[in-house]
Amino acid sequence: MHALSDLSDDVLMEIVVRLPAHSIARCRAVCRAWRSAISHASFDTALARRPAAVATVTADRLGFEFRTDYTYALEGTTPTLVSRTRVVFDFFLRWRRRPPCPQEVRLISDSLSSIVTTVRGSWDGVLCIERGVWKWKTRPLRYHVEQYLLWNPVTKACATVSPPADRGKIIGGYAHPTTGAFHLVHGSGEVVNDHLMAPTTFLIGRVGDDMAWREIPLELEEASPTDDAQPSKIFISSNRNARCVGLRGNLHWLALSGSGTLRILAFDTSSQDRFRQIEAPELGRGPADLTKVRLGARSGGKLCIFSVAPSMSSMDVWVLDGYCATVRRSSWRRKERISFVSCWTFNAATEVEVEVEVVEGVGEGEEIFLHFETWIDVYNIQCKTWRRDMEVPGLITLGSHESLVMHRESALQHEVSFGDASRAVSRTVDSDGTHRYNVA
Amino acid sequence: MATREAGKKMIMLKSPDGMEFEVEEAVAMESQTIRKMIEDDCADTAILIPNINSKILSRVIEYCNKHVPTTGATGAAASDTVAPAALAEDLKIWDAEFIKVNRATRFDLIQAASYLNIKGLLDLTSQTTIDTISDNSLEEIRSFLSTKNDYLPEEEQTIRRENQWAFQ
Repeated sequence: MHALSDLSDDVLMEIVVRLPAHSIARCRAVCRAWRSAISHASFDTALARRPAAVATVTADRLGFEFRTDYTYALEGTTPTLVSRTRVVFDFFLRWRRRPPCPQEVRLISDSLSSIVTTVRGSWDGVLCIERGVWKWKTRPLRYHVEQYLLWNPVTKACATVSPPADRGKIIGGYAHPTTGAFHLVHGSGEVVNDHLMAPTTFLIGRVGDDMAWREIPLELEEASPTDDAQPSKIFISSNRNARCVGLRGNLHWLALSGSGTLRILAFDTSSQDRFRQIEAPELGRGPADLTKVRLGARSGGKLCIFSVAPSMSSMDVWVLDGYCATVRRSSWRRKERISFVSCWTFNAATEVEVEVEVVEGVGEGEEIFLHFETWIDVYNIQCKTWRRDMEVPGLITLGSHESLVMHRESALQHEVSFGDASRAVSRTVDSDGTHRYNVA
Repeated sequence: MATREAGKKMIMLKSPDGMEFEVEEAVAMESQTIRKMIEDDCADTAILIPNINSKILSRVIEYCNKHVPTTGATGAAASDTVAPAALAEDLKIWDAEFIKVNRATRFDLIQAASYLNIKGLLDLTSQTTIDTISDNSLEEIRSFLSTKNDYLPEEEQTIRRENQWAFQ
């Protein structure tokens, strides 16, 4: 055997799924055999099973500037003042960093209000970035979402979407399992406080030129008899902690029942017909605190829950062993308790906001990333060791927002993901090698 | 049924060219394919491994021998004294040495690792190929793979246009 082409298709596929996404697309042009193999549906499935990587997304406000549009200048029109924002995407670990990363997308807006740019998440290879403004003139002060930017850093596909309703948030997204079309999930309802929302209306919409939103019912009947306090209510995080975790064609969110029991809200992306509830483990006495619990997915396709102790001294990892239609509380198993004491110069008094991300197969085995204000601690599950990474990118300035996301590359074409809503981007490469894309 | 030493079950692996290899069951079970055969009781005395010649099979066994978890009787002494990190480092060096083979052997090993379903070996053997494909131009990839471009020029242009982002 002297050529790779002598290998069987199965073996060839083993190699191709290990390639970075942009190389995969290039391989389509190698020869006919490769193209037919790579365009095959089973290949997409194999690709979706690849380990995700932790990436950082930073949004910075660059301030205002006069639009340098020479056509206007020639016609003698007054130049318009525009506000600029940049969003930088990069893989977290240096060894994964090779061109075209880091990548940057610049957004220009005519609005003279200060635009707040927040990263909502990374779902099926697409980043969702929220752009909103504070309405100063209204009392009480109100935050208004202007638009959502969707961006696939691999294919550079871009789309902008208007929010379907005045209130509420985009809480998740997915590429449809058969068509690949990107869909968004929107939740709205009563906002309880800074971080809780009781969603009563769920909308899903396929991204495209004529984006139509459809209401999806929420099933509440599974509530246990002890939930009689507020039986008809379920709460989810209203801020970016409302992490949407995709697994086995379902989307999952952590939720609280009316009585404070932890639950999981699930949505089937192929039937797209309803939201249902899954039982979650009982983490401790008293009502659960959604700011201290995170949902994740571990290798082997297992749903897991990370629960930080109120004392901030340790974190429990719960794993759901069997994933089936009816999940009982007993299906959850506490896999391990990770002590924080060896992790940082123990600073229990400070209430730090912890973001937890879990990633499989980076370096040696699975790693859990804990994101603190200015640093990131990484725990290796296999070796049971901690390392600290000060590699928090960019300058943290006022108006900037930086987030860790678990990113799974997608090589879906622009039209497949966003249809007619796909937007053109112009590209430049900076002197430092950063690939920059401008979205008008 | 061959049994050697206390409690250590041995398995006989046969290559199509008639060579026989006696290996510990734990070593053979590094291969998910063989593990399944053993668990399903399809492997009584000897397992014939089709399509893998004795030269390649002996290398695969060498790899499995090195990578079998050291929690068993053989490795207990070693893992007591050596830190896991040092052990991992040692394996890395061993792997780097192991993969210094010509291209034909490497492709044979990829094929064998895929058939026997040994994830670690597949990762190791396909890495060079992956690096070459991801770092080179299309023409270089084709010559590396000894693959001919069977597209018409206009067809290739269409594909390049469809996947434009990957060629920038």
